[in-house]
Amino acid sequence: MAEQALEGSQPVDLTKHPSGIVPTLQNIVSTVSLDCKLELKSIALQARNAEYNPKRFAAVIMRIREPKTTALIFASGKMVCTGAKSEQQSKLAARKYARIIQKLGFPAKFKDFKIQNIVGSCDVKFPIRLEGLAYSHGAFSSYEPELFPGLIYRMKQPKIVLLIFVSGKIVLTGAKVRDETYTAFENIYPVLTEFRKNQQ
Amino acid sequence: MVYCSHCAKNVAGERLDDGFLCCGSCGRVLEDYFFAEEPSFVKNAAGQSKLSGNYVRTVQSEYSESRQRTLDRAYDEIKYLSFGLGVNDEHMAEQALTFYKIALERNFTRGRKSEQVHAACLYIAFRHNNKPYLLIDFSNYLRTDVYVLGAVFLQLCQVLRLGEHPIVQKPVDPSLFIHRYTKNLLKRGSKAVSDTALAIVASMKRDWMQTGRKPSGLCGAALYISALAHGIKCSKPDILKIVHVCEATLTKRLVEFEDTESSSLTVEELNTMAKEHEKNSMIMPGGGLKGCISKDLLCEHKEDSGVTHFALGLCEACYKDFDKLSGGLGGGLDPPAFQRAERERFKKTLPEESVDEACALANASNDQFKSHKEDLHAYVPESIGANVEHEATKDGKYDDSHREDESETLSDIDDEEVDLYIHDEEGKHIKKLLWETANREYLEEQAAKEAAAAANKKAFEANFENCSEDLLAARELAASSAEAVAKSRKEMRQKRAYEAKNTRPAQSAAEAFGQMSNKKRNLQGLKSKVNFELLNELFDEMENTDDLKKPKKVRFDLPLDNDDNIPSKVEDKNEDEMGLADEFDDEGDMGEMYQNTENMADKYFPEDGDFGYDDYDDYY
Repeated sequence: MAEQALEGSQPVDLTKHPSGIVPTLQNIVSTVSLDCKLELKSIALQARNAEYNPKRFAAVIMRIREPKTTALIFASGKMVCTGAKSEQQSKLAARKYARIIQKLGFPAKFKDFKIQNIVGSCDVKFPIRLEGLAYSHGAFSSYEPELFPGLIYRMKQPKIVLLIFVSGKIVLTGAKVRDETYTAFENIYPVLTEFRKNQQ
Repeated sequence: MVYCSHCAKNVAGERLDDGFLCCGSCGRVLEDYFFAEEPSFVKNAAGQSKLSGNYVRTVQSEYSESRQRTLDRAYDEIKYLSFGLGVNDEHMAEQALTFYKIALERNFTRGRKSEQVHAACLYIAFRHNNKPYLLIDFSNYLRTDVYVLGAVFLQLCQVLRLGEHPIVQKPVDPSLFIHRYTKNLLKRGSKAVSDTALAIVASMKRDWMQTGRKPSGLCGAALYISALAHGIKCSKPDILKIVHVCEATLTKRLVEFEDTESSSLTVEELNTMAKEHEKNSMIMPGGGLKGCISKDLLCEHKEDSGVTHFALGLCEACYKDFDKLSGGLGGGLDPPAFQRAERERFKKTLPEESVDEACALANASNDQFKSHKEDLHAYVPESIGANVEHEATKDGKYDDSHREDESETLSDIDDEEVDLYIHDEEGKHIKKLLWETANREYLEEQAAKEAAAAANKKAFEANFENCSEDLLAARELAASSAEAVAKSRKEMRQKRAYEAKNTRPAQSAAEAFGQMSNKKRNLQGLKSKVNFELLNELFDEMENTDDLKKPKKVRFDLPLDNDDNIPSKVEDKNEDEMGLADEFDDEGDMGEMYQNTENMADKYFPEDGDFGYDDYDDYY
């Protein structure tokens, strides 16, 4: 929330964001390979911040405080890092996890770091008539109020899935690059203004 | 009547003693053959009697018997489901069966419960014909989770290519359900109550209460208000039983409606206002659509010539449907979710933090968890690609050696912070105790697995020790076999084409013959031939397995192949022991020679392992 306030105070680059709204990144999922086999039991017993329940899930779950993230560490040496708010934080967190694994006695490296998914959200601050979107953009929309209160919009270019709610809040997911999120929002914003509530 | 050539006329034919067909007049034999018509039975391989012959498929049906039986059962199930929900129209079942046929042809039923697929097909038929039934009704009838049924429904729409069809594009109109719910509540139904409830629902639409809400909740609230307004005594549980929502939802909808202006009207005023709105529905809000930029037609009629754009990318008919279904873009209050968001924004300007922020954080964590789940699913195929990238990185390792040295050491990470996350000795000991207590079942299972593996290993070693005699001869034979295998492997490395596969066995056989002729052993030669071919066969199997994989992966997986050979060796031992019993009955000498061969086979395995390791080094 503090980041949103900060972003609000900064001047928005209208050439890049004609709508004047910049989506806020909420979650980033990344993967990295430590390039060595890991003994999950010894990791779980030596690390304070690790939990390992082999009957439930075949990976060690490790958390660090700064940046506040969660990692899944597999015996094959692959690691999944979730919860970061920016690409740099995700990489820094992954490197910290790798360093912890190194300290526990494994010859861990840091190979093939890759951002797998970026989730963004923003608020357009006007109500949206979702039924109209479903009528006019039916090929891309899925609106089943009995199953989900928002409209699921599957944009083709860029390939992003948007969740659009009547309150004006938008969630964008499926991006691998930050600019994809921004482009998707700029594409959908004119359509949302068409179906906004008229003021009397 | 049969024609008799001797009598030159049609006569009555007779079959005396079930024999030939004869003329009744002159006795001429007309047919000297006959067919048996009784069914005959034959025994199949399992020893069971079975009717001989096959059913000939009729031209009337394009489906096989099994498929037709499936469709008949599906039709019956769909019909029972439709009748159970209260729709006695068989056309619904027929239409649903049509969807089911398409789903069946595309293997949609594989991996899903057939009753859920039946329900999804029937639901699509109901949606298409504006039947007032929701997924919650099907869910209630089948005792299934409504979201599981919803997932099947959405996937079925994908399979049926209904993404661009109005069945899915047009959302469900809550007005559709008012009459059914009124009838369920009041047994005989009441037009006055239904009309008032419809007016209330229309008012809710104009006040933006419908968007994003379940239709059943809105109908329940409208019906409750209308029934009470007409003096009918009904309680909330009565409404909840009919519309399948919980009491909190109903209360929430009632409170939201209370905030609107329509809640202060009387029944007569409400009906009057509803009639006025119906008359004025044709008029577009003045200036409301000035912001509309797009002039392209986007609705279902976009491919029809002659249909022109009216507003919001819709033609005139679609715009009317949209306005009626949703309540239009103008007027009314803000939607409740938007009002809550506005209040939150107002509170943010105040110095105090609001309690709703915690709810937002909880939602954010839920979103992260949901995204996390999805990415785990997406990660699985990515790992295969990651392996390929991993191999590619190895090839280019020396180009990035300097950069990787820097990043691999991770020396820039603060050690002081990292040390906080690592236990000391006492912490390790305590956590070990706790972990082993919590995972006792898992450890017991692992111990059982290790015991089984150890038992197998002991059996393997026992067989090995029994063959300690004639060690030197076996070693010599194993060495020569390994040499032949090495030659064959080198040749295959040179010839990677598939054509070499055809000549490889011949070359191996030729070499085998050469080896045997050089040794000049009669009985031993025969035994060597048999086992040498077995070894070649085993070697060919390994090569076939390797050929299926990529050339790069062959090098990487060689140690794993050696691991895979251990079980096959154990199995071979079991088979050999069975054969050994037969041999022992015949001659003692043959048994002894057989042990010699086993010893040779045992020696073959470690040699092959060593050779694999050498080959692995050659790759670098």
